[in-house]
Amino acid sequence: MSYDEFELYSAWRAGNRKSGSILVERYYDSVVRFFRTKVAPSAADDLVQRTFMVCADSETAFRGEGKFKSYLFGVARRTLLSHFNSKHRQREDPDFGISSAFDLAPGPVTVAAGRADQRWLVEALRSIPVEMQITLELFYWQGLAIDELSVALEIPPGTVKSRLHRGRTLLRHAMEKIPVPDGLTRSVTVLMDEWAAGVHALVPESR
Amino acid sequence: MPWSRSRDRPPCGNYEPVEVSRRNTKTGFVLEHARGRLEVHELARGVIFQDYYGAVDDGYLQPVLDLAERRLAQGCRLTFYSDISRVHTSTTAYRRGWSHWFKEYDSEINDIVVFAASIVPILAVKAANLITGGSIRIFYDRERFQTHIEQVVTAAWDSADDDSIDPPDDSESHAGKEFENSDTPVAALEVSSSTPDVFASPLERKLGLGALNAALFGESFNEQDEAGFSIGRFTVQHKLGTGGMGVVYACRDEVLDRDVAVKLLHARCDKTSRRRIMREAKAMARLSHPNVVTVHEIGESDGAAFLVMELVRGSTALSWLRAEKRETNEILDVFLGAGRGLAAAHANGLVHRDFKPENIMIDEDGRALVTDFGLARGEVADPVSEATDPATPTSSTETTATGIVVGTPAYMAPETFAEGRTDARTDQFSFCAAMWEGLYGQRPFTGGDLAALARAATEHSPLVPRGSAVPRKLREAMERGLMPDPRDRWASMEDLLDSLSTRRAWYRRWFTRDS
Repeated sequence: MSYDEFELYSAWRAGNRKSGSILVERYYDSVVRFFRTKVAPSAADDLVQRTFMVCADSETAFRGEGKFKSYLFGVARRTLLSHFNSKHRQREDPDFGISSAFDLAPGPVTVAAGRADQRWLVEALRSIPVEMQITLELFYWQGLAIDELSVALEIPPGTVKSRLHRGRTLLRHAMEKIPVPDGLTRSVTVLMDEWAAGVHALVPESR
Repeated sequence: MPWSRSRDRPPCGNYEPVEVSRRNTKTGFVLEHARGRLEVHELARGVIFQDYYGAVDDGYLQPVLDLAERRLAQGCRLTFYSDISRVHTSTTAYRRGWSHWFKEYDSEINDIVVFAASIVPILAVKAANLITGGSIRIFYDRERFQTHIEQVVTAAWDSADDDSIDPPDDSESHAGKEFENSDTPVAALEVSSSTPDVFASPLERKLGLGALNAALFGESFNEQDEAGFSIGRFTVQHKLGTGGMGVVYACRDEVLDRDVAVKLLHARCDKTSRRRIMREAKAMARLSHPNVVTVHEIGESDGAAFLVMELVRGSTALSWLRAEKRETNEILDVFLGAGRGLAAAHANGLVHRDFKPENIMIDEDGRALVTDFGLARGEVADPVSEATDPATPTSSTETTATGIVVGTPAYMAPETFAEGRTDARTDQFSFCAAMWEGLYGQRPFTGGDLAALARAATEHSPLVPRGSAVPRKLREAMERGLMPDPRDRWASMEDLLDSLSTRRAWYRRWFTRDS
């Protein structure tokens, strides 16, 4: 589908609003989720807007190599990191391989206003280094493949894999560290049911 | 063939060694022993482990560990099926065995499917803690579990037939490459079900997208859709801003012919939270004070709750403070105004819970108005209106369902960190922290993380920057409001404000251009 999206994108850059709004509509939810799991809602809204603006105007445009999605999340990632950098301009630049989104932007996020298990997961994700969080989320939630992640994150595929591996370890430790609330037994039961309801065939795709 | 104890791994359990036989199958191999068996199916992009009745000793797991290690290095996914119905008498041993195994692989198991008869709660929680990237599915019914496994294995055999099978001894690079080039990472398909919801309601999404389109393409809400966007009976004109609890839109109330601000709440509108929001909003609507943003009404539209408020033309204290350097006097006036609003709310039994510069509006006449009462948590706490004396710590100790205290850490009182408690005195603390930041340009307490911040607020005095021009008396008044023990703070906001006003008058006489 990337050819189709490249056409839409080119038309958007050439000034066709309709094409632009189709792409924006298509990726709106994912981009909002990307930011809402990392910064406060007010900042998230600005960053969503900035990401799409950069896509439309940036000199480093999408040239049709790979998927538009990889390009878009590459822009989103850079937008997020520069936001963190500017927030910390008085101090030295944060190391995104070490600092977590929570370190960089403490305070509540609203992504999972409804469900305890999602809040739990998001809290844990926010406490691991932000580059790890980005990698895990793009892999699991946005479904980017290793080579697409390599484009979005600007690192070699081998590094993507080791980062996924390390990220999962850190995430698990983070989840263990988050205090288990009273409601957990109930929440976990609910969580199981919901997962069970949503889980599809567990086999690797047969072709 | 029998398997010896592991070479150099931590033990997977202290079981007695058992004769284990291995038999190769079309898709992998089977390990069998007197108490059960373990089947392994290898596919190009993943490995399925099927465990019946538990591990027997660590040596038994050795070939599985080796295989898992090799395939993980190739970026493959692992799926683990287990029938634990017969191990309920040895739960501890079982758990010890497998959890060692999981830990060794950093929870690289993508999915766990379990049939469990009686020990679900313990193992389910354990498993949920162990796996992080994947999903868990628990069957309570053995027949359904077996049907499921059969389907899975049949599918595995089918895919083996069209040679997607990757024989155990095949070159590793080949399999790794195949995984890399596959269009969709298999893991992504399943885990999508646990992807967090972003929007509390379709309306929230529709309006958010509308506002984004307005910003990107310069099309107003009206231009985008002739039918217009509306929240209940209110016609949306443009977005005003985003706060912690929701997005605020400037709207037109055609019925009453006036402009209003409508805040669409992020909070999911389930029955309980709706009742609470209604209750709190009613209390807020009863409160009429020049320093409090008036709440006109509360409503619900397409499953989303919204608050209709007085439209304040101006900016938040946060952007007001950032816009330019302000005189101490001006800042003090803003906070005195906001403080009076807060005191009025306390007198009505309301607690703010998230007082900060972002929640103070400054209108075109320079008047400060406090907004966002009580709703900061996304779900409103128990009715504080029942507390007779707002200065007395109420029993409102609610935290979020995850046990994580939600507020704005930089302005949170130590007891809010510790117990999630919020009352008039925690509001007083937040007020002083916000005012401190306004006057000194830096927060009274800092810390790299939540724990450090809580420690600073509990153990240290507020940070005073060198060479600041804030009068000592003023600082002392704020310091008292920032005491870690609520009993050491001012008895009420009124007392604090009295003290501040006195100093304000004195300060005006002697030091400012007003003199």
